[in-house]
Amino acid sequence: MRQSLEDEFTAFVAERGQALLRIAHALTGDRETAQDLVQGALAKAYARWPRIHSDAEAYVRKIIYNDRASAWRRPARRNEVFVAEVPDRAAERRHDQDVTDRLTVRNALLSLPARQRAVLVLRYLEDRSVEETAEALGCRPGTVASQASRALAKLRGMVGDRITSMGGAR
Amino acid sequence: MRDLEETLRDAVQDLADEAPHAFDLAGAARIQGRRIRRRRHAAAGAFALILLSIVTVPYVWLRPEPRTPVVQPAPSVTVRPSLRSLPDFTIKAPYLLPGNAAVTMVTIPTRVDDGADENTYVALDRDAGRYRQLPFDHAPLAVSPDGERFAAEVARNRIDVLAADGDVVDTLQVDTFSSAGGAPVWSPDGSRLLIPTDGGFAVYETGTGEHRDFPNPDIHSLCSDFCSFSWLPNGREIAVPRRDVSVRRTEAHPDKIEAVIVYSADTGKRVRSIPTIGVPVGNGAWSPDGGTVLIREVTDTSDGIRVVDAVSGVPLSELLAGPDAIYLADGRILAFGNRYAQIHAADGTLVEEYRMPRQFADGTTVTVARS
Repeated sequence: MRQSLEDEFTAFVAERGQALLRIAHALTGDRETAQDLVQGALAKAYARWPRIHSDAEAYVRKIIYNDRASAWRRPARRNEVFVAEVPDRAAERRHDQDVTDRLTVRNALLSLPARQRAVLVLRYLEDRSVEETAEALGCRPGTVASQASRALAKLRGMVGDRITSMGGAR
Repeated sequence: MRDLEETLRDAVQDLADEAPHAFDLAGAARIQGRRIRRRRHAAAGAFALILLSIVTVPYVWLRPEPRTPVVQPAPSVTVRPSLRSLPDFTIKAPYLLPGNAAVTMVTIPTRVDDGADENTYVALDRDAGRYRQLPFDHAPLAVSPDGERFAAEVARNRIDVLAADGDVVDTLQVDTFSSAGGAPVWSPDGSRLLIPTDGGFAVYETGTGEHRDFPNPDIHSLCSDFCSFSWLPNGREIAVPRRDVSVRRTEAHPDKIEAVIVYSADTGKRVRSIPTIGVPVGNGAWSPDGGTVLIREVTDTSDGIRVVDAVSGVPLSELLAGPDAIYLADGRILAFGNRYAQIHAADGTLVEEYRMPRQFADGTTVTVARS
């Protein structure tokens, strides 16, 4: 690859690497898995860099989401976090109600199927529209809407009645 | 008490904030990326070896087509023609399928673990009378009727027109509709390139190097999930399927198609509608007399090709097998995939059946044009 493209790749990773890791960590909840996910996506981007460099971030983000969202198809579901029950709130060290709520929702979020979690991260971390989310995940807007709806319903079921209000996604 | 969505937003932010710090991501990605490249090149090289290994097989012309008219079997008798094997494929000479249809390109998928489509292409060089491996791997790739020009979306919203040696002949910036599978399509005479766009379609003229946009939001929003565009034989009209909007869309079932809409490639205006439940199989879908069309019918219960009336859309045949089909110059139909080729009479009756050469292995796509 030409040196100018190599430099461009290095600059891209330096500039956007941390933001990509934030997305990956929100998707996985696991530092090592997040790093693997981003590194894998960047490797794929590097392999096709001359072709995709003009739109690199969209390409890498798409790979991160799709790799994660399709992880359930693979036989080994490593790094998936399953939470059979909501953690005992009494065990939480922090007593601030909001923090407890956030931890509860966070654990519930990490127990969702990867695709539903990807939809929620796109919608609530990245503030993407339904259409943009659909494009990133390679599905229809209707699928995004139904996945988001199911995910929120599951969260509501998991966190119980204490956090009740459930406005529609923006 | 806080709203669940508000809490969710905070929880997702918390998770993102706990991300590890990036450390030499670029270096590690480079090492892994180079490995991916090596695997990709190895896959392409393996295919080249396969081709080289078969060039020693003498080229055998196909048996001549039967001179006598095809006799349709009596309704009460089912006569299935015997299956014959076609000769081996060789890159040394044009490969002709029954009906004198030429294989213009062989597409071998190159497995890349980023899920991207990437292919190795072997295309017919008509002047040299043999096949050549193309030096690019864009997918999907549209090959012009004369086999000299290729078109592909090489980057987001960028279509390159390429020569067989990889030279970029022209670059077009268009708001492509590729997310729905709308690949560029060459007109039957190769003078125009149809590009499905987010807002309708665009037509590129090879003569002037200019392209015109024809905005029409209905095309995008009403197209079926199998949204393939094609040209009519006149090279001045295009066909686009339209789904039945009264049927609720769901990922669980393919869209129900209610019509094929024909638009003018000169004005972008809607010309007519053909009420039918399938998508034209491509530029070769229209019979030489213009009276019938081959449509791909994909429903929950059927997946095949059917002959329909070009005006009324009324089905005129049973479902034909084969992922692809074209009308031959004499009005018969060649249905084909990478394993079998079948000749059908104009009414869809199976006449001859052949086994494709072993070189067209699983995953290979064969592009065919009538001579």
